[in-house]
Amino acid sequence: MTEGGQAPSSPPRIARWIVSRALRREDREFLIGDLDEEFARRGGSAEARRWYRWQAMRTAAGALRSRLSVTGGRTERVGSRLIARGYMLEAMAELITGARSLSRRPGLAVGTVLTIAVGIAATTAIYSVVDGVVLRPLPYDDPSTLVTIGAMAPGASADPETGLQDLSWVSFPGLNALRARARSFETVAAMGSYTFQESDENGVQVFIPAATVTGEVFPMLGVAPALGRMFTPDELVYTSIVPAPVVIISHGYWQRRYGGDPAILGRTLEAVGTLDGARPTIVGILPAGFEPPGSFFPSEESPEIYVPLALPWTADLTAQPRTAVYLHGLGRLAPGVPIEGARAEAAGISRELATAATARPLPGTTADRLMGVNGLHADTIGTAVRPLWAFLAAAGLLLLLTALNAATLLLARALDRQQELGVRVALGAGRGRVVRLLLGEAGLLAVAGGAIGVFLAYAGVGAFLRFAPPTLPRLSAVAVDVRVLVVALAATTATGVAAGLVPALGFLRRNAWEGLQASTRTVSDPASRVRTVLVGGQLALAMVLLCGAGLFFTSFMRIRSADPGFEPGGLIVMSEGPSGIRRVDVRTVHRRWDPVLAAQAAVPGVLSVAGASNVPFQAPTWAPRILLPGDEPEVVREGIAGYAITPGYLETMGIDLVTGRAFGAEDGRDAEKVVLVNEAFVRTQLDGVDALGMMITRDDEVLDVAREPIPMRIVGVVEDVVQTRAEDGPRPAVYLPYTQAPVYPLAQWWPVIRTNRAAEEVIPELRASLTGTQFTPENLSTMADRAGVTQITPRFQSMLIGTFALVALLLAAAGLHGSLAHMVQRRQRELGVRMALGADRSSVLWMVMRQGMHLSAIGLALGLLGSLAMSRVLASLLFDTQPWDPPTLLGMAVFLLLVCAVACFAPARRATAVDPVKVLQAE
Amino acid sequence: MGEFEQLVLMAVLRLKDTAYGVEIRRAVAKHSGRDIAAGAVYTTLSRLEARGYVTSRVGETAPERTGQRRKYYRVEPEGAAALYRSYSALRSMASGLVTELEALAARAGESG
Repeated sequence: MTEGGQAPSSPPRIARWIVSRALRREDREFLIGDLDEEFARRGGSAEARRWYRWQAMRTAAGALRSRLSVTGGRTERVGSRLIARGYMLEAMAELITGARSLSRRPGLAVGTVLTIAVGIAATTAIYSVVDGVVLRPLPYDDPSTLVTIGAMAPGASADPETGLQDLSWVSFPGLNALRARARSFETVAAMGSYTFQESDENGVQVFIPAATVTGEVFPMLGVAPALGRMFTPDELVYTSIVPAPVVIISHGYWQRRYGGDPAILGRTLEAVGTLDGARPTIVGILPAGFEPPGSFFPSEESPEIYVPLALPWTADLTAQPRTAVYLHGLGRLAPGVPIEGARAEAAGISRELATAATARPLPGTTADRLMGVNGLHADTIGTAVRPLWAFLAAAGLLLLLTALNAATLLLARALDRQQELGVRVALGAGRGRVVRLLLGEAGLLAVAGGAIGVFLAYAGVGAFLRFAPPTLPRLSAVAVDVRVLVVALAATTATGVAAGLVPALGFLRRNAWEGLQASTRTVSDPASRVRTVLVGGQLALAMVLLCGAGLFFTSFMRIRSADPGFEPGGLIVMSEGPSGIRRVDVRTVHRRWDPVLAAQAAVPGVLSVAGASNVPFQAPTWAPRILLPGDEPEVVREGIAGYAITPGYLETMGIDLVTGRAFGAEDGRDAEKVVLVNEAFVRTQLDGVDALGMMITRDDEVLDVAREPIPMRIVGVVEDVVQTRAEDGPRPAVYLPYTQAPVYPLAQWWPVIRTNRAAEEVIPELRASLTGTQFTPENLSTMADRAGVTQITPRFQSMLIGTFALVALLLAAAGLHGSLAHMVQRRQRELGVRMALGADRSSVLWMVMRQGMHLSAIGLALGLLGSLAMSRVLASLLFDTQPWDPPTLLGMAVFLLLVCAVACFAPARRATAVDPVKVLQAE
Repeated sequence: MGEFEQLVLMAVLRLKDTAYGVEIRRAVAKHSGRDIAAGAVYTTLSRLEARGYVTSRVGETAPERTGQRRKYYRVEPEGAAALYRSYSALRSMASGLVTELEALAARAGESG
């Protein structure tokens, strides 16, 4: 029957679906058949489609109408059959009724929706961060069996909280032994650090982070090149330490440096390798989003260029070379092997190697430096993610608060509608139906709030990523996606049900007739107890968040004002960038520092210069093994940082000498070995005894050529200086003259310059002064900037929790205000009578205020208890601040009460404005 | 019996063996000029069936029905009796009024 030539189209699918939902099953087939048939007769044209949709709408509307009629009669009977059929339709009907009644009070609806949106947004945004950083599996093949392999810090055991072993770079012989002997590993692979350098557009040398990879790494991770190829076996055959001249580059580097040009395959790299000065050929490009595994490459130094790492693997352990190449070990566990099994086997093999070694023990394989194994996922997320759980808890509290707030609003609404609902029940609407109506409304508000909330969450995640400290791993994996949306949906549903259930249950518990009789003349407020709980709960939650925010803020302020132990103002620092292979004489390596310092001292405005192997706000790079008189040789004193410094260092930095003397020209390489210790060293290692003149021993097994313990005389004690971050507190440290330090800490060093000129003027001149000195500066910055970087994390934490707390406080105050205002409105008659009987305005004002403040006090007390309960979570995140810090908690309590007083004042004022004459006339 | 029910019943009578949804709708539209909703046909027929006025049987399908079968209706004696009573009442009420009704309706048409 179709009109000539034109192919008939099929009926509109959505319309067809709607019809099939709207009808009883008995009718469905025949009606749809009819519609399809007539659609075909009408030629399947656009006109016919419109007709079909129109029919579908009419059919659905007819079904809805018969469902919606509350009273009995003919349509009700048809409707009741429909009830039995379509739950879908029923929910739709509730929603439409809900929407209709909500549209009569748009302000309240909008307020509730926005309240819910805030809670959903906070929870969704934080959850998406937690999900991306912590929960989501790593983007590699079968990530649960991937592990990192490293050398354990001497004497250290696994962290009781995370189960992580403290691992550092492992030596090649150790890894080779694991590969030859261990049965726990299906694959043993390795990565190493590497750098390239090139000139940027200003002619400044920049360093490009790179990594070396053994042939197993990419296949083990399941990574295939996006373009080009992986390394071939001959590129991975060990001939010398110089790698084969091919590289694979990251997707990001390809985009940034080469504009995503596919023709660069086969071309040579612009940058040159810092190790050998070579310019290798680009053979492959990694897929977008690839991140190197584990915590060895922090996200801000993620490698851009990958170089083949050929190693002399051998099964004959007696023949293995003693090259002390240090590697980041990676592996995949054999099927069924637990991490503990792999750890035990790695430790066992380390011990065997140590005892088998006859002459000098192999580096990294001595008995106190066992190899350890960590799961890759745990190793990647580490402890930097700990605050995320606090954030998630805070967001959850906020969500709970918004649910209570929405429930308060809906309760007030339900009270106003008591009569209407009573009439509905009296006319025959079932209790269940009215409860469904209330739930339907709440559900509608929650869904709208959830939709806006998810939208806000996108923005929230964006803001989080912008301000988040760079120490958080895996931030690139953070996104609002389906997993997150499922959580948002669950949160929305829970909020809607919770907010709707309170008024619904309240309705169920009361007799429907009561509502009819009560009208507005009621003196007692039957819902007042429920309301007290709701508002009190909000205030309590707000108080918990306020306390948390206050503590984070106090902690942050204490970090900022913590004494760094030196004078950061006017200090400029820089580090030495990697700059090519040097053949250094261990006896004269320190002399490289002198021309650099001399060149910088000649810059105008420079007051003094000094050099050090490391500076404050930088993780210690050298941990010398220090033994005290009477220590057995195997004693391990952990966590002592070592600094090699020039004689002018203390003065340039402004570090006070507590006792003894500073270093001078007399402390040369062949003079008596001397050392300065800090106060923390005296306190923690020497139990506070007078250290001056004491002989201590340095035993740097790997680092020193001598391999003999070196006795050193303590010639002075200096004040404690911040090491990595102020919040770590003072840590023991030793300072050695740069003339007497081993090679390792001297190889990369930091000039420190004190100036009385503006940093931005001096920095270019300092840079210029270095041309011709073989020193390539990196990290040129003021000390204040370096300090600021370490404060990003605490500032971010207090900002985030502070925002949550303020929002919570505002919502809770609004809840308090709203419910007092509502109460005043409902009790107008009572207030009018009181005033007619002689109560003066101030006593009425005070009565309402007292009621509000009573509620506030209850919330405050509960909130304080709650925040104490959370103190264990907070304790590890705070610096120099107890979770029950009295001034902070007191301040927050006063703040809460003040805001509550403001919130109570307006309704109280309105109560005094009640005109007794009018109220009584209305009777 | 309502007017709509009368229309549907008469359509079923008129269509004899071909009385199923599409044809019923078309017959009503053709004779009364009313475009009724497809769903309403079934709502009405199931009500009439419940009163024993019509019976139904499930029939065959057709290619353009994408596999859905037709449902055919037949008017039962009780239905015919009820329709006759209802129609007679209407006709007797209307007797002698037709001319006047037409005149009035024409005026309504003019003013509308």
